[in-house]
Amino acid sequence: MGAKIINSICFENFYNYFGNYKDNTFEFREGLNIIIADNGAGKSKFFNGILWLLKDIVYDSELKKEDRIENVLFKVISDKAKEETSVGSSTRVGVKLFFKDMKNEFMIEKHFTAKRIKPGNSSNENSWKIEEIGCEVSRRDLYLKTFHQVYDLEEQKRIIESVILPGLQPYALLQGEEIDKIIDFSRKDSLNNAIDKLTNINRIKELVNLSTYLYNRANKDLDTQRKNHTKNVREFDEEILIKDKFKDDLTKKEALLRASLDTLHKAQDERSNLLNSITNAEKRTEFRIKIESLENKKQGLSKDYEILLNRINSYFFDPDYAWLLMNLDNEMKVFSNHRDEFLESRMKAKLTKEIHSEIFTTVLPDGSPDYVSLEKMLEQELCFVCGRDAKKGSIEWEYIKKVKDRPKPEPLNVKVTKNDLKDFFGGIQMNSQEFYKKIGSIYESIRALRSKVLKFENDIRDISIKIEQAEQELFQFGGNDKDVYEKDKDKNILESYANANQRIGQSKNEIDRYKREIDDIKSKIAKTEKIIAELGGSDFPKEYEETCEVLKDVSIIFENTKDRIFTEILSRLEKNSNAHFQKLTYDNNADGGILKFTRTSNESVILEVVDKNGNPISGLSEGFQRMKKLAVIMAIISSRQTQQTLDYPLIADAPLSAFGKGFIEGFFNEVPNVFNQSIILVKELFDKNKTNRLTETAEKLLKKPGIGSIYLNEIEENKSQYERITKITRYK
Amino acid sequence: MIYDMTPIEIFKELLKDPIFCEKYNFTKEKLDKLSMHEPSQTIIELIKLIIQGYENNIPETSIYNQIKKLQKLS
Repeated sequence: MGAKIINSICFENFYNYFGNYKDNTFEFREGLNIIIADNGAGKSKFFNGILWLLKDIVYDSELKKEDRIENVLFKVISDKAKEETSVGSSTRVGVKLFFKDMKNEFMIEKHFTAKRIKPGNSSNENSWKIEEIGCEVSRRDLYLKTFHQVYDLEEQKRIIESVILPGLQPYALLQGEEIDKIIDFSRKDSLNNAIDKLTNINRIKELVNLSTYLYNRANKDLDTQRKNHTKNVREFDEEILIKDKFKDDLTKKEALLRASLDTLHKAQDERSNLLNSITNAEKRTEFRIKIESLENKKQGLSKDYEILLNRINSYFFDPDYAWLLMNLDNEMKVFSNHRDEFLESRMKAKLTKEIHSEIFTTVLPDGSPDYVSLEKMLEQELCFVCGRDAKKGSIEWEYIKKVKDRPKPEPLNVKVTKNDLKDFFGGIQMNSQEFYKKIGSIYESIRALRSKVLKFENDIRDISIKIEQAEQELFQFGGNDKDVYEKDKDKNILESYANANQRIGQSKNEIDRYKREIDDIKSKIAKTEKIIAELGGSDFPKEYEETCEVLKDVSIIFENTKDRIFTEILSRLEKNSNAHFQKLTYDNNADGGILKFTRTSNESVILEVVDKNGNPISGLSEGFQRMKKLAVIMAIISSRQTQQTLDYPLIADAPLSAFGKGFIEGFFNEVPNVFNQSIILVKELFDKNKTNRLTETAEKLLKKPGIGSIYLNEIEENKSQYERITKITRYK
Repeated sequence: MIYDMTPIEIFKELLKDPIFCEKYNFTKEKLDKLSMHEPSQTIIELIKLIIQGYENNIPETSIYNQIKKLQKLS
């Protein structure tokens, strides 16, 4: 039928397209046709009109799902039309499309009528009755003026499907992010399906299967003839059984080989998909381990620090530190002097009482001499025990010093008797001597403790900084230390990557083994066939042998041809994909790499993006990823031998939503090279700050040759939903 | 089907196989001149029969019967 060109599409009270068909008509020509519209100005509604016409569905962009038109009829009626329809009256809703091929022009219309049956809120579905749902298809010869209605439902269906063939719709009827689903590079069969659908390689594959079947049939007939003419039927049958057994074994081994190849490619696919995320996952895991180790260290330090702080009080009473006595070093001497005075006065009183008795009375406490008394003795150069002089440096003085510096005595178990203040004061002096000794080192111990505290604080601060740095680095690799789910996800990625590697290794070993075994079985089959041929003798019609031999060659020829065509397709695909990819991304500074198609041993195709040296590139932006898919689709379409452009129109709603500015011009330049006609709905060319609402790129496109039409869709701002209508302006 | 090779195109592709020259003694010139409509050697006739049978959706058993008839197999 030749190239299909959509001449026009018109809407009647369909969503925001309020009014009759005449008010809402878009006329198109061959080449690039653009409808520019801001959000809410009717791009997706337009696309839904096409979906209704071709597939009886609409796409709910809020729910992100398709629905049958009959389920959403009330929803598609223009709110303004609902509001303006009085009770008892009806409003007509419809979409109409005109398209042509080389011989005919066709009209397809889908429509229904909604009658308002109750007063009240017009948006209440119960106030309406849907009736007269219909589909009209007409045709006219291009040389005639009159359209003739097509009544045959099959013929209607065929005409509707001929606008864009159902098998092609996934590649020519594109909606926003749905593009990503057309070729999902994470699924190997996705690219294969696209190649199968858009080329006829499957036909060649079917011919290969047919020729193999014919060869097997001829081989079987040949064996039957040989059996009929053999002189040794028993032996012949045995050899046939052996051959059949080998063939069974071969079939089983080939199935195992295919399964192993499949496992290998799945594992390779998985590894290849994980390759993009493995580096980041490894880094994230590394940082998480680092953070965990630092956190543990910080926790340990903080605990020790807390213990240290809690122990500060005990330093006041600990004899080893005696902080309580800080600055009280003189008080001991004062106490000792007071005690001396007390003892002296006590002794005087006693002497007065017992004047004639010659009793030696010591001024020292029991268990003396104590540290303070000895210090005083040394200072006064006098022994308080015997009353003799002990000049500094003398034997006596040195002895006193030696006694003073003696090790700590066992604690005294002094029983204090009532009113025995001598013993009481003596006990105080004796017990306090160990504290007294430490007074001089209190400042030192405080300094030591203070430096310990500072060290803890510094160490904790340093670790906190390191943790913060590690968290920032983790964040740069897309991680979050607090998110347990992400942590598990990374763990899964690493495990899956390791598993994929393991499966690849295992599968490769299996494949090598099965290939050896298959070769061995084939060689056994060949030997058995030779024996069968010898047993069969030569008394049967030679045509059987000749036919079998020729059909064997024929099946090999078909197989070789399929391989050659597939290789050629891939080669063309790679060349054309790269040509489209370069053009689509030419305005972008970043290097998008080179697309490389590789055929695997089980007739699958793997697509990689590599640099000039053939090293895989990962981490391309979303814009590049989508361009890559578009480039491949365009290449599949333009890799055909006969024509360079697709005979069916491309209709795309918001295909540029993930693109950077650098991609947009490339897209509009390249699309006409692949699609004979395209209708692109975009908001990226809309600039609300300009009087004509067009961006610079849109202005450029206006002046460009080969542009079919440019429309601007606008809705009036600050209007309620009931008053909202799409205003259509044609710029070209 | 977009990349729609015609039966003649498929036939021509098959004739590119080196086996025709190596085993069946065809010259390149002779292969170039071969057409779907003129009789030729057995292997060519069988290939034509398979392609035409496939294009006309003839069941594979029927195609084999046609081959048997062509090869005069009982």
